[in-house]
Amino acid sequence: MNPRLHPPETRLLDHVAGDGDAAARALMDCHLALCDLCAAQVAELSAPGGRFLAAQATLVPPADLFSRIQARIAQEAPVQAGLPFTKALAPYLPSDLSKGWRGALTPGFRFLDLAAELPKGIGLYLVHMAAGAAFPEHRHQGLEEAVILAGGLADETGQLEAGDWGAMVEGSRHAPRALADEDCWLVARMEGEILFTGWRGILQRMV
Amino acid sequence: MPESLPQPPSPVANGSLPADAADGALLQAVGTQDPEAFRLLYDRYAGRLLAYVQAMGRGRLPAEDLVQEVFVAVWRKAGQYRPALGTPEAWIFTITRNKVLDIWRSHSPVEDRGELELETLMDGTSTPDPAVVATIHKALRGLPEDQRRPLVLAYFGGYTYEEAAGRLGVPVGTLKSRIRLALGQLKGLLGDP
Repeated sequence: MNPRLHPPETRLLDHVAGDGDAAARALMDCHLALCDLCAAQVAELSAPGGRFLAAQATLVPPADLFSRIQARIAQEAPVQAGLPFTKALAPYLPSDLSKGWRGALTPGFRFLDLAAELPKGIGLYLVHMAAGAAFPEHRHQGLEEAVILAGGLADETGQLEAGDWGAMVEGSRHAPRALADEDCWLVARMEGEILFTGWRGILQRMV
Repeated sequence: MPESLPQPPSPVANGSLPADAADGALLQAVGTQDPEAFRLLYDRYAGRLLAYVQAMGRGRLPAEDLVQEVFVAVWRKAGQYRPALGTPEAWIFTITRNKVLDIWRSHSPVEDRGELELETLMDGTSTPDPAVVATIHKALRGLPEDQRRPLVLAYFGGYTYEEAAGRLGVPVGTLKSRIRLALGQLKGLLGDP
Protein backbone atom coordinates (compact mmCIF):
# COMPACT_ATOMS: atom_id res chain seq x y z
CA MET A 1 0.00 0.00 0.00
CA ASN A 2 1.28 3.46 -0.78
CA PRO A 3 -0.61 6.52 0.38
CA ARG A 4 -1.87 9.05 -2.12
CA LEU A 5 -1.56 12.14 0.07
CA HIS A 6 1.79 13.16 1.54
CA PRO A 7 3.12 15.82 3.90
CA PRO A 8 4.83 18.85 2.36
CA GLU A 9 8.56 18.37 1.87
CA THR A 10 9.29 20.94 4.54
CA ARG A 11 7.71 18.59 7.10
CA LEU A 12 10.12 15.84 6.06
CA LEU A 13 13.02 18.23 6.48
CA ASP A 14 11.68 19.30 9.88
CA HIS A 15 11.63 15.65 10.91
CA VAL A 16 15.36 15.19 10.40
CA ALA A 17 16.77 18.70 10.73
CA GLY A 18 14.22 20.72 12.62
CA ASP A 19 12.76 21.09 16.02
CA GLY A 20 9.26 19.71 15.65
CA ASP A 21 7.21 18.89 18.71
CA ALA A 22 6.32 15.36 19.79
CA ALA A 23 2.92 15.57 18.07
CA ALA A 24 4.49 16.42 14.71
CA ARG A 25 6.93 13.56 15.20
CA ALA A 26 4.14 11.11 15.99
CA LEU A 27 2.30 12.02 12.81
CA MET A 28 5.41 11.70 10.72
CA ASP A 29 6.36 8.37 12.30
CA CYS A 30 2.93 7.00 11.40
CA HIS A 31 3.04 8.28 7.85
CA LEU A 32 6.56 6.98 7.29
CA ALA A 33 5.55 3.54 8.51
CA LEU A 34 3.04 3.37 5.69
CA CYS A 35 4.74 5.32 2.90
CA ASP A 36 7.80 4.16 0.98
CA LEU A 37 7.95 7.37 -1.04
CA CYS A 38 8.43 9.64 1.97
CA ALA A 39 10.58 7.03 3.74
CA ALA A 40 13.01 7.22 0.83
CA GLN A 41 13.18 11.01 1.13
CA VAL A 42 13.82 10.80 4.86
CA ALA A 43 16.50 8.19 4.21
CA GLU A 44 18.20 10.61 1.85
CA LEU A 45 17.91 13.58 4.20
CA SER A 46 19.20 11.68 7.22
CA ALA A 47 22.04 9.86 5.43
CA PRO A 48 24.70 12.52 6.19
CA GLY A 49 23.76 12.30 9.87
CA GLY A 50 24.30 8.57 9.77
CA ARG A 51 27.71 8.96 8.18
CA PHE A 52 28.56 11.58 10.77
CA LEU A 53 27.52 9.36 13.68
CA ALA A 54 29.34 6.34 12.28
CA ALA A 55 32.55 8.36 12.15
CA GLN A 56 32.34 9.66 15.71
CA ALA A 57 35.14 8.85 18.11
CA THR A 58 34.17 6.37 20.80
CA LEU A 59 34.18 7.48 24.42
CA VAL A 60 34.00 5.00 27.27
CA PRO A 61 30.55 5.24 28.88
CA PRO A 62 30.21 5.09 32.67
CA ALA A 63 30.20 1.48 33.86
CA ASP A 64 26.68 1.76 35.25
CA LEU A 65 25.08 3.47 32.24
CA PHE A 66 23.49 0.36 30.77
CA SER A 67 21.95 -0.64 34.10
CA ARG A 68 20.63 2.93 34.47
CA ILE A 69 19.01 2.63 31.05
CA GLN A 70 17.45 -0.68 32.00
CA ALA A 71 16.07 0.89 35.18
CA ARG A 72 14.59 3.80 33.19
CA ILE A 73 12.97 1.42 30.71
CA ALA A 74 11.43 -0.53 33.58
CA GLN A 75 9.71 2.69 34.68
CA GLU A 76 8.20 3.27 31.24
CA ALA A 77 4.78 2.04 30.25
CA PRO A 78 5.12 -1.08 28.11
CA VAL A 79 5.02 -0.42 24.38
CA GLN A 80 1.56 -1.32 23.13
CA ALA A 81 1.24 -4.38 20.94
CA GLY A 82 -1.65 -5.92 19.02
CA LEU A 83 -3.01 -2.59 17.81
CA PRO A 84 -5.58 -2.40 15.02
CA PHE A 85 -3.32 0.08 13.24
CA THR A 86 0.34 0.82 12.62
CA LYS A 87 2.69 0.12 15.51
CA ALA A 88 4.44 3.42 14.78
CA LEU A 89 2.02 5.14 17.13
CA ALA A 90 2.68 2.65 19.94
CA PRO A 91 5.40 4.69 21.72
CA TYR A 92 2.97 7.59 22.09
CA LEU A 93 0.10 5.57 23.57
CA PRO A 94 -0.78 5.19 27.26
CA SER A 95 -0.39 1.80 28.91
CA ASP A 96 -4.14 1.24 29.20
CA LEU A 97 -5.92 1.99 25.95
CA SER A 98 -9.31 1.16 27.41
CA LYS A 99 -9.38 4.31 29.54
CA GLY A 100 -9.64 8.02 28.89
CA TRP A 101 -11.78 8.02 25.76
CA ARG A 102 -14.13 10.94 25.25
CA GLY A 103 -17.01 11.53 22.88
CA ALA A 104 -18.38 14.50 21.01
CA LEU A 105 -22.15 14.12 21.20
CA THR A 106 -22.17 11.99 18.09
CA PRO A 107 -22.56 8.21 17.89
CA GLY A 108 -19.64 6.10 16.73
CA PHE A 109 -17.01 8.76 17.42
CA ARG A 110 -14.50 8.82 20.26
CA PHE A 111 -11.09 10.34 20.84
CA LEU A 112 -8.20 9.94 23.24
CA ASP A 113 -5.98 12.82 24.31
CA LEU A 114 -2.48 11.43 23.99
CA ALA A 115 -1.25 14.21 26.26
CA ALA A 116 2.32 14.10 25.08
CA GLU A 117 4.66 16.78 26.36
CA LEU A 118 3.63 19.47 23.93
CA PRO A 119 3.89 23.22 23.60
CA LYS A 120 0.86 25.16 24.81
CA GLY A 121 -1.99 25.14 22.30
CA ILE A 122 -0.89 21.93 20.56
CA GLY A 123 -2.82 18.70 20.99
CA LEU A 124 -2.31 15.12 19.85
CA TYR A 125 -5.32 12.86 19.59
CA LEU A 126 -6.09 9.31 18.62
CA VAL A 127 -9.50 9.21 16.95
CA HIS A 128 -11.71 6.20 16.38
CA MET A 129 -14.76 6.39 14.13
CA ALA A 130 -16.99 3.37 13.67
CA ALA A 131 -17.59 2.39 10.06
CA GLY A 132 -19.94 4.94 8.51
CA ALA A 133 -19.91 7.25 11.56
CA ALA A 134 -20.11 10.97 10.89
CA PHE A 135 -18.42 13.78 12.79
CA PRO A 136 -20.44 17.00 12.89
CA GLU A 137 -19.43 19.97 10.78
CA HIS A 138 -16.87 22.13 12.50
CA ARG A 139 -14.46 24.96 11.80
CA HIS A 140 -10.76 24.86 12.67
CA GLN A 141 -9.26 27.65 14.74
CA GLY A 142 -5.78 26.51 13.84
CA LEU A 143 -3.98 24.04 11.62
CA GLU A 144 -5.02 20.42 11.90
CA GLU A 145 -2.83 17.71 10.41
CA ALA A 146 -3.80 14.06 10.54
CA VAL A 147 -2.65 10.66 9.34
CA ILE A 148 -5.13 7.91 8.66
CA LEU A 149 -3.93 4.81 10.50
CA ALA A 150 -6.55 2.34 9.30
CA GLY A 151 -9.78 2.48 7.34
CA GLY A 152 -10.62 5.80 5.76
CA LEU A 153 -12.87 8.82 5.74
CA ALA A 154 -14.38 11.25 3.29
CA ASP A 155 -15.25 14.92 3.57
CA GLU A 156 -15.84 17.89 1.31
CA THR A 157 -12.18 17.85 0.26
CA GLY A 158 -12.09 14.22 -0.85
CA GLN A 159 -11.31 10.79 0.51
CA LEU A 160 -8.42 9.76 2.74
CA GLU A 161 -7.28 6.20 3.30
CA ALA A 162 -4.64 4.45 5.39
CA GLY A 163 -1.34 6.32 5.38
CA ASP A 164 -2.74 9.47 3.81
CA TRP A 165 -1.71 12.81 5.30
CA GLY A 166 -4.53 15.31 5.57
CA ALA A 167 -4.41 18.97 6.54
CA MET A 168 -7.09 21.51 7.37
CA VAL A 169 -5.89 25.09 7.61
CA GLU A 170 -7.11 27.69 10.09
CA GLY A 171 -10.62 28.83 9.24
CA SER A 172 -11.51 25.81 7.11
CA ARG A 173 -14.58 23.72 7.89
CA HIS A 174 -15.60 20.17 7.10
CA ALA A 175 -17.79 17.28 8.20
CA PRO A 176 -15.83 14.02 7.87
CA ARG A 177 -17.51 10.64 7.68
CA ALA A 178 -15.81 7.26 8.10
CA LEU A 179 -16.02 4.99 5.09
CA ALA A 180 -18.84 2.50 5.33
CA ASP A 181 -16.88 -0.73 5.18
CA GLU A 182 -14.30 -0.36 7.94
CA ASP A 183 -13.66 1.47 11.21
CA CYS A 184 -11.41 4.49 10.81
CA TRP A 185 -8.48 5.16 13.12
CA LEU A 186 -6.49 8.36 12.78
CA VAL A 187 -4.02 10.44 14.72
CA ALA A 188 -4.39 14.21 14.62
CA ARG A 189 -2.19 17.10 15.65
CA MET A 190 -4.26 20.17 16.45
CA GLU A 191 -3.20 23.78 16.80
CA GLY A 192 -6.05 25.45 18.62
CA GLU A 193 -9.56 24.11 18.96
CA ILE A 194 -12.49 23.34 16.70
CA LEU A 195 -15.82 25.14 16.76
CA PHE A 196 -18.95 23.20 15.89
CA THR A 197 -21.59 24.74 13.68
CA GLY A 198 -25.34 24.53 14.38
CA TRP A 199 -26.79 23.58 17.76
CA ARG A 200 -23.60 21.89 18.86
CA GLY A 201 -21.81 25.18 18.37
CA ILE A 202 -24.36 26.98 20.55
CA LEU A 203 -23.97 24.31 23.21
CA GLN A 204 -20.19 24.44 22.92
CA ARG A 205 -20.15 28.21 23.43
CA MET A 206 -22.45 27.90 26.44
CA VAL A 207 -20.19 25.31 28.02
CA MET B 1 8.33 -1.93 2.11
CA PRO B 2 5.61 -0.36 4.23
CA GLU B 3 4.93 -2.25 7.42
CA SER B 4 1.50 -3.43 6.32
CA LEU B 5 3.07 -5.88 3.88
CA PRO B 6 4.58 -9.21 4.98
CA GLN B 7 8.07 -8.80 6.43
CA PRO B 8 10.90 -11.33 6.23
CA PRO B 9 11.75 -12.83 9.61
CA SER B 10 14.49 -11.05 11.51
CA PRO B 11 17.70 -13.08 11.58
CA VAL B 12 18.26 -12.28 15.25
CA ALA B 13 14.72 -12.65 16.50
CA ASN B 14 13.71 -15.48 18.77
CA GLY B 15 16.89 -15.49 20.77
CA SER B 16 19.44 -16.41 18.06
CA LEU B 17 21.79 -13.48 18.30
CA PRO B 18 25.04 -13.65 16.40
CA ALA B 19 27.45 -11.13 17.85
CA ASP B 20 28.17 -9.86 14.36
CA ALA B 21 24.51 -9.33 13.43
CA ALA B 22 24.02 -6.27 11.27
CA ASP B 23 22.84 -3.12 13.02
CA GLY B 24 19.57 -3.14 11.09
CA ALA B 25 18.80 -6.68 12.19
CA LEU B 26 19.61 -5.71 15.76
CA LEU B 27 17.25 -2.75 15.59
CA GLN B 28 14.48 -4.92 14.25
CA ALA B 29 15.08 -7.40 17.07
CA VAL B 30 15.02 -4.57 19.61
CA GLY B 31 11.67 -3.70 18.10
CA THR B 32 10.45 -7.07 19.35
CA GLN B 33 11.79 -6.12 22.81
CA ASP B 34 14.78 -8.44 22.54
CA PRO B 35 17.11 -7.56 25.46
CA GLU B 36 20.17 -9.29 23.98
CA ALA B 37 19.89 -7.30 20.78
CA PHE B 38 19.48 -4.13 22.84
CA ARG B 39 22.68 -4.87 24.75
CA LEU B 40 24.59 -5.46 21.51
CA LEU B 41 23.24 -2.25 20.05
CA TYR B 42 24.22 -0.38 23.21
CA ASP B 43 27.75 -1.77 23.03
CA ARG B 44 28.08 -0.57 19.45
CA TYR B 45 26.60 2.89 19.82
CA ALA B 46 26.92 4.13 23.41
CA GLY B 47 30.49 5.37 23.02
CA ARG B 48 29.81 7.19 19.77
CA LEU B 49 26.59 8.72 21.04
CA LEU B 50 28.36 9.88 24.17
CA ALA B 51 31.04 11.56 22.06
CA TYR B 52 28.48 13.24 19.82
CA VAL B 53 26.19 14.44 22.60
CA GLN B 54 29.14 15.69 24.62
CA ALA B 55 30.42 17.60 21.62
CA MET B 56 27.04 19.28 21.13
CA GLY B 57 27.46 20.31 24.75
CA ARG B 58 25.02 23.17 25.08
CA GLY B 59 22.84 21.77 27.82
CA ARG B 60 23.20 21.78 31.55
CA LEU B 61 22.69 18.03 31.81
CA PRO B 62 25.57 15.53 31.71
CA ALA B 63 25.98 13.83 28.33
CA GLU B 64 25.48 10.39 29.86
CA ASP B 65 22.03 11.42 31.12
CA LEU B 66 21.10 12.44 27.60
CA VAL B 67 22.48 9.23 26.11
CA GLN B 68 20.44 7.30 28.66
CA GLU B 69 17.26 8.96 27.36
CA VAL B 70 18.31 8.36 23.76
CA PHE B 71 18.54 4.63 24.42
CA VAL B 72 15.15 4.64 26.14
CA ALA B 73 13.76 6.25 22.98
CA VAL B 74 15.52 3.68 20.79
CA TRP B 75 14.00 0.88 22.87
CA ARG B 76 10.52 2.35 22.52
CA LYS B 77 10.76 3.24 18.83
CA ALA B 78 12.84 0.44 17.38
CA GLY B 79 9.68 -1.29 16.20
CA GLN B 80 9.33 1.53 13.68
CA TYR B 81 12.66 0.92 12.02
CA ARG B 82 12.74 -0.57 8.55
CA PRO B 83 15.53 -0.33 5.99
CA ALA B 84 13.49 1.94 3.72
CA LEU B 85 13.89 4.67 6.36
CA GLY B 86 17.65 4.71 5.88
CA THR B 87 20.69 3.20 7.49
CA PRO B 88 20.52 2.26 11.17
CA GLU B 89 23.12 4.95 11.91
CA ALA B 90 21.00 7.60 10.19
CA TRP B 91 17.88 6.48 12.04
CA ILE B 92 19.68 6.56 15.39
CA PHE B 93 21.21 9.94 14.53
CA THR B 94 17.76 11.41 13.95
CA ILE B 95 16.38 9.91 17.17
CA THR B 96 19.38 11.31 19.04
CA ARG B 97 19.22 14.89 17.86
CA ASN B 98 15.46 15.04 18.34
CA LYS B 99 15.62 13.57 21.84
CA VAL B 100 18.47 15.85 22.90
CA LEU B 101 16.57 18.86 21.58
CA ASP B 102 13.44 17.79 23.46
CA ILE B 103 15.35 17.50 26.70
CA TRP B 104 17.19 20.77 26.26
CA ARG B 105 13.95 22.57 25.58
CA SER B 106 12.40 21.12 28.72
CA HIS B 107 15.36 22.46 30.72
CA SER B 108 15.41 25.94 29.22
CA PRO B 109 17.23 28.16 28.84
CA VAL B 110 19.69 26.28 26.67
CA GLU B 111 23.21 27.56 27.05
CA ASP B 112 24.68 29.37 24.10
CA ARG B 113 28.36 28.69 24.18
CA GLY B 114 29.17 30.69 21.08
CA GLU B 115 30.51 29.36 17.84
CA LEU B 116 29.92 25.73 17.04
CA GLU B 117 32.32 24.37 14.49
CA LEU B 118 32.54 21.08 12.71
CA GLU B 119 35.87 20.33 14.38
CA THR B 120 34.16 20.54 17.75
CA LEU B 121 31.43 18.14 16.73
CA MET B 122 33.74 15.63 15.14
CA ASP B 123 37.14 15.12 16.67
CA GLY B 124 39.27 13.61 13.96
CA THR B 125 42.16 12.83 16.27
CA SER B 126 40.56 9.96 18.20
CA THR B 127 38.13 8.52 15.69
CA PRO B 128 38.44 4.85 14.73
CA ASP B 129 38.53 5.78 11.05
CA PRO B 130 40.26 9.11 10.33
CA ALA B 131 39.75 8.63 6.59
CA VAL B 132 35.98 8.74 6.99
CA VAL B 133 36.23 11.86 9.12
CA ALA B 134 38.45 13.45 6.52
CA THR B 135 35.89 12.62 3.84
CA ILE B 136 33.10 14.25 5.81
CA HIS B 137 35.20 17.31 6.62
CA LYS B 138 36.14 17.65 2.98
CA ALA B 139 32.54 17.26 1.84
CA LEU B 140 31.32 19.88 4.28
CA ARG B 141 34.09 22.26 3.33
CA GLY B 142 33.00 21.79 -0.26
CA LEU B 143 29.71 23.44 0.55
CA PRO B 144 29.20 27.17 0.19
CA GLU B 145 29.58 28.91 3.54
CA ASP B 146 25.93 30.00 3.55
CA GLN B 147 24.89 26.35 3.36
CA ARG B 148 27.57 24.82 5.55
CA ARG B 149 26.92 26.94 8.64
CA PRO B 150 23.16 26.28 8.79
CA LEU B 151 23.89 22.58 8.40
CA VAL B 152 26.52 22.51 11.16
CA LEU B 153 24.35 24.48 13.57
CA ALA B 154 20.87 23.10 12.98
CA TYR B 155 21.38 19.62 11.53
CA PHE B 156 24.51 18.36 13.26
CA GLY B 157 24.68 20.78 16.17
CA GLY B 158 21.17 20.60 17.55
CA TYR B 159 20.32 24.30 17.38
CA THR B 160 16.63 24.95 16.82
CA TYR B 161 15.70 26.61 13.55
CA GLU B 162 15.04 29.84 15.43
CA GLU B 163 18.37 29.76 17.26
CA ALA B 164 20.34 29.01 14.12
CA ALA B 165 18.47 31.59 12.07
CA GLY B 166 19.04 34.20 14.77
CA ARG B 167 22.72 33.42 14.97
CA LEU B 168 23.13 33.64 11.22
CA GLY B 169 20.84 36.63 10.80
CA VAL B 170 18.54 35.03 8.22
CA PRO B 171 14.81 34.21 8.25
CA VAL B 172 13.85 30.68 9.27
CA GLY B 173 12.52 29.96 5.78
CA THR B 174 15.87 30.91 4.26
CA LEU B 175 17.68 28.74 6.79
CA LYS B 176 15.53 25.74 5.90
CA SER B 177 16.06 26.25 2.19
CA ARG B 178 19.82 26.35 2.70
CA ILE B 179 19.78 23.19 4.83
CA ARG B 180 17.78 21.41 2.15
CA LEU B 181 20.20 22.55 -0.54
CA ALA B 182 23.18 21.52 1.57
CA LEU B 183 21.80 18.04 2.20
CA GLY B 184 21.24 17.61 -1.52
CA GLN B 185 24.82 18.68 -2.22
CA LEU B 186 26.20 16.41 0.46
CA LYS B 187 24.57 13.42 -1.14
CA GLY B 188 26.77 13.93 -4.16
CA LEU B 189 29.88 14.80 -2.16
CA LEU B 190 29.67 11.87 0.26
CA GLY B 191 28.42 9.23 -2.12
CA ASP B 192 26.40 6.24 -0.98
CA PRO B 193 26.81 5.09 2.62
